[in-house]
Amino acid sequence: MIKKGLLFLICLIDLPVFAQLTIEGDSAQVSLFDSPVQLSEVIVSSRVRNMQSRGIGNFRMNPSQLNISPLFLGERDIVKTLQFLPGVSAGMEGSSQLNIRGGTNDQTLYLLDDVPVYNQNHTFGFFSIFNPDAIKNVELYKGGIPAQYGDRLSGVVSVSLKDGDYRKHNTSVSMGLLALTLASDGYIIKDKLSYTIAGRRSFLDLLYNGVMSLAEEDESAIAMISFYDINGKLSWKINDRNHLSWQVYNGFDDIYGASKTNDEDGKYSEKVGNGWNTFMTSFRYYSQLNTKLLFSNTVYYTTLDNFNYHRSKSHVADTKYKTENGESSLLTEFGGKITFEHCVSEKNTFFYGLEGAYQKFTPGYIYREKNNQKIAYYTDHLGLVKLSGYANHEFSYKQFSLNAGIRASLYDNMKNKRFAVEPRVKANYYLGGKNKFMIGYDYMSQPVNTINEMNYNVQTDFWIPYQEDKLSKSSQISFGWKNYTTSALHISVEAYYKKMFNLLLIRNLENYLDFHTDFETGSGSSAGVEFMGEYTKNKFTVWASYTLSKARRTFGDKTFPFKYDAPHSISAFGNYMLKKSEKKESSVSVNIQYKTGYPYYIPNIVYPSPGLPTHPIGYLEIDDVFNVEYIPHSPNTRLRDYFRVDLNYTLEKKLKRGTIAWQFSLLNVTNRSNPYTVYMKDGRYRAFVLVPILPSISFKRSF
Amino acid sequence: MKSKFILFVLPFLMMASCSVGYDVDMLKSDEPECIIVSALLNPAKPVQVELYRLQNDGNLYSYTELKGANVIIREEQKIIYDGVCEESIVKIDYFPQTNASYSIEVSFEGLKTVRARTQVPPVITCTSSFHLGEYRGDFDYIIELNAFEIPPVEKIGMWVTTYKVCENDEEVQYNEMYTKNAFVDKTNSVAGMPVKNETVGSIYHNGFLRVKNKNLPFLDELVFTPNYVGDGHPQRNLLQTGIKVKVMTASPEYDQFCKSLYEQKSMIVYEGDISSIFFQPKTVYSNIENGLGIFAGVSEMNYVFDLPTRGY
Repeated sequence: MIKKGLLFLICLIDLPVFAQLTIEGDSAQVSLFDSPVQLSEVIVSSRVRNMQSRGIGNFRMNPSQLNISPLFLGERDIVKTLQFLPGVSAGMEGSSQLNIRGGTNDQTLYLLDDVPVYNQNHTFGFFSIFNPDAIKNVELYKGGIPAQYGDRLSGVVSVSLKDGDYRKHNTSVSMGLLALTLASDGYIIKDKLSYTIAGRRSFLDLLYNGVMSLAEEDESAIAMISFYDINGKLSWKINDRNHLSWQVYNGFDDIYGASKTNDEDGKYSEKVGNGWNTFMTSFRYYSQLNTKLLFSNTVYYTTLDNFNYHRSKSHVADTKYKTENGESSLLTEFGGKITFEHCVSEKNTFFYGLEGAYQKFTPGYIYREKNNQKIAYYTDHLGLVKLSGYANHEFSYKQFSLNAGIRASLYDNMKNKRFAVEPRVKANYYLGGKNKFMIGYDYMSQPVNTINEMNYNVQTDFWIPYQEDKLSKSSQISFGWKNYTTSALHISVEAYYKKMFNLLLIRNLENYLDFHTDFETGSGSSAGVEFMGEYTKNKFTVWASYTLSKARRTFGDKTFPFKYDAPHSISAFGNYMLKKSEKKESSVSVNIQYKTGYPYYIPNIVYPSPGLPTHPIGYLEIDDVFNVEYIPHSPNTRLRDYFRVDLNYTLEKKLKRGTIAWQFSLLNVTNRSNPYTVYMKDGRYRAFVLVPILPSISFKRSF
Repeated sequence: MKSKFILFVLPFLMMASCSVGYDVDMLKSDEPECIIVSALLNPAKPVQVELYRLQNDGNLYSYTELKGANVIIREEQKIIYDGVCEESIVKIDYFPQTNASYSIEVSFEGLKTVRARTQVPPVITCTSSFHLGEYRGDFDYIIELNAFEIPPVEKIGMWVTTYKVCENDEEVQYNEMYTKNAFVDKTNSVAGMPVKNETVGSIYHNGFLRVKNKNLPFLDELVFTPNYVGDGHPQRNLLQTGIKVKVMTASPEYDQFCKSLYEQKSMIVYEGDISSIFFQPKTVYSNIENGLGIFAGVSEMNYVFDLPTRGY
């Protein structure tokens, strides 16, 4: 007779509930997977951690965290929230980059439902393309990276889109300072087929165009920002063992100037802009082949198009003409992957799979179009074929667990082939139930780069495959200790050391692309210790971290600090639930961030030159065309230390049908002048401050 | 109301973003004292080289004229100047030759000897014409260059500048050049202006038009309108008698130097403006080994159009 023993349930919002039933007497453990047990009604009492430290170098974030995190320009953003984690650097203020443990943003693999995304920015990078209303959860890996992930040196951000509700319909509308978001999910066939759709659109441009058309101006000109993104997902439960889904994402950013004239002579309009278009679609198929074997298959297509254009239209009398000139840098990728999860026994699980992709890069495409007659230049392209196989073994014995994996990849850039073997290992040892000791080793390769190793600003990245004979590689070892002092308080410490090889530094982008000159290859290193504490009790949630780190780059005979090297970095987040009742919830939260200023390049030598061609008065907007400011090849200063405090107040009311939520945020409440750039103007040093004290508001209505 | 132009980019950040004075905490700089060379070799002008010395007084750098340096200038392998220059400017009564290579070596006691090389490229030629275009009651000069002949020299670039030719032969450079051409660099383009005319559109280029080497073979025509924005100087109001178009063929050194200098100078135009988010510390190209500065060849072809006597 089975006696009921300890029933331990761990429940996370929107995540599956796992249950383990321990039977007293023979102390045998029965896995639910092996022999299903029908439980009577179970009341789950859970402590929700929106931000979970899950193992060495690994965090999982629940999008609920965004409801209590401060807004940036009225937008909730997962990347902005991840930037507060130890070992993760945002780069310059306002950016949506994740520079992990001394790596650059292009060394972070961004996945949307397992499909690579090649530009995660909207609008200068002020917020990311990931629409929080379409997200189930986000995983971040800084180390201990499973063998299923590859092609990047420093980390992985895996964003999972949520499946639609199979039993009811949900809709929400939200609005911030810049954009309006609509999200809906529900069933098409109850318990069988569900959908999720979420769209976000900037509205300032729509508002302006509406006002101008009402005003009936003869002539107008404007500079404007426009963006949208749309996520869609169809999920089909074919039966209990088979599941098929189709995902689609499209994001578009356009920063443009437009002018038009409309009078009795006719109409003339022009639009000049630049931006990027990101598109992704994929099919995923899951199948439980038997009780021990799970199979999944994904095929995908993903693109990134960075563009600029100049369009004009004229309509005078009966004559119409239309012209367009443009430049584009296009990346397209078509790929697929097959994954098996083989549960040999409760303590032995194998993961293995294959993946392959073809990437086509067209970095300098130019076109001219007149009345729909198009002439294209530089249509020649670069290509990259990637083939990878991997295997992972999860094994546990008493207090010890091991995850050992290997990934082998073949890269072919159509000029030469490179083979990479990447061992990955992580191990845990549990001591006394309250302490976990962790160790991890990651060897990574990267066959593609963006062009921004040295750039601080927000220029749009575009990608190119490795052009030299060498792949960029990294080798990282990390150690960790986690202490579960109480169920409310967790403390962890991680230390890492990472070496990076064959990094690319492009000194002159035009020459690099046109002549394959003006570049160097070098190496990098980073080391650090990350402390983190998480406390959740009653109405109070706090997590705080401190990172001590050092990151260096070596090019030629010079070693210098990495551009985002911040030896000391402190982040803290606190949330207090002011009121929680059936009808109303309100909370306040605070974000605090301090870090050492980044290394920077400041001119301290000015010398004479022949100047610009040919008369100095030919440059009305430039004061001094003859003197050159000398910028050294390595940083010669550090920016002032960064400090910012942000506040947020969230109020959510339950209505007869649905909820209404308001979020009010105040960024940089101390109004500290954190420098975004430092430059010399009229012989004086000046700093540009992007975010002084800045209020934000957002409204969300859910049905 | 005839016209209305509204700038409406991110109003919240525009209100908030600002520039402030900044005290720099400079790290110890290890830039050595060195020789600075400044020279353009243009077949239209005699050879002239300016020499300076970079000095390091603690952490403060300054430059002074360099006098007494030993200078050797070669054309191909032939020495055209070899001597101690008592002044800081080397002047030779000799005009650089098109298609010839030049090198310079400057040495001075206590400083590393500097060296540089360049070539004076052959000129790019073309046919040229101009006419008046009317757009909504305003008249503009529309200049057309076509039938370009590009010399087969690696990495040269084309730079075009335009001038008002005034009475007394004074020349005033047009500071804006409008064009729609897809092959002209975006480096110095400025958008968001009203349409100049339908032929050239609304984008102007600040000071020059540049066509990079890779685009030169595809350049079939270049149509543009020069525009002068006065700065209030009385001399600029002289009667205009003609237009001069200068087509420069830039050696790779001159091309990269001018491009990078422009980029450096134009990074911050309006302080506190949201465009500052594009700022990037920008190194200006130098081809002086062990030193700083530029030693570069350039050649030019000028096309002058006389204006009708009534003037516009």
